[in-house]
Amino acid sequence: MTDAVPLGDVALVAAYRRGDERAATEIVRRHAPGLARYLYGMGAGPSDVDDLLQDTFFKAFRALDTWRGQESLRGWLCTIGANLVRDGYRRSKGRTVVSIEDRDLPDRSDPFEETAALETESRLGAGLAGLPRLQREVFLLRAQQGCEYEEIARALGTTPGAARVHYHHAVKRLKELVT
Amino acid sequence: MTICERMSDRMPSVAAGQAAWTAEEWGHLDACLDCRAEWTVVRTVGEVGTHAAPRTAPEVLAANVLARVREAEHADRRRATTRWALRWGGLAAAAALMLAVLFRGPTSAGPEAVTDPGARAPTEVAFLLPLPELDDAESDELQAVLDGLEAPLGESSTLDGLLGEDVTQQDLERALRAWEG
Repeated sequence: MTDAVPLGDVALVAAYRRGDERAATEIVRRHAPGLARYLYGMGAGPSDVDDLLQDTFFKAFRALDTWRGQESLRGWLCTIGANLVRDGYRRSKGRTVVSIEDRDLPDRSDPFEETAALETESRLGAGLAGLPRLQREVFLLRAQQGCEYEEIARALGTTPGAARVHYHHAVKRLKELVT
Repeated sequence: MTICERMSDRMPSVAAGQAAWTAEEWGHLDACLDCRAEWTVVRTVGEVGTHAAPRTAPEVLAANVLARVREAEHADRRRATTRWALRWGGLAAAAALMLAVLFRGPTSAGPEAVTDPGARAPTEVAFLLPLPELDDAESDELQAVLDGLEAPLGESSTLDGLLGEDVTQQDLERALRAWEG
């Protein structure tokens, strides 16, 4: 479903393939923030996010000829990033994955609100880390990246129906943590 | 589709700021505990990582990535050249070896083909020599020639029987000088 692919990404990739390096900078500028959030949600430590971003874009630009625009560039980048997080986790046998409780969290002006929010984030972070891999990836792509089910299905090699089921399972489990 | 299902579908885009709740939906969120819980989950997870923004500026990040890509492409080309050289060098060596084997000649074909002309019997050599002057010789003349060939050198000469015993060394030298003119 190419309608879901922003025309801008297709045009930028085509420009990069023709040798326009400014297009590469624009791709990075457009997708780095969302990809960083996704990598963080996948369990990457804040200090690892920049390295993972660089590795993700490096792999993506090396394999850009294989991206045909049938899936969103954002979903494709997230899949590459998720694989890198998993590879890093396997290599370190899980030692370096930092739970959300240990990370820097945003400051809030109201101390009570801040405490409550921190608590919710901690619980959700722990819950997210405890989800099965596919549920976590589907949930993050949907809730955080705003991907459609068709897009998620193409990125993760599943069906839109299965992606929807994974999402709802994940939501159900996470909802239990905040009620 | 119930309002709960519709709101569930819209939550990611509202959390991302790409859409907004209607008044009816806000009212529903106040009343429905299940939707409120889901909204908390989606909104919170959407916010998780907002502070995990890249520390490196996009221009620098892109420049680093492109430098690595160029380096990797250069390494790919080097590897491809080495592979090409090894492949074609190997093929050339194999071809040269094959040509050497093919054009070594019949002496290298096998142990049976190895021959030494010097090892041939003297009679074989004699039969190979063209001697048309013997074609019309009588049996006793041929026998005399054969006897002369088989006799050890120095003992006798094939000319002895033909010239007789009264021919002296001086006669022979005179005859030779006459032939030479």
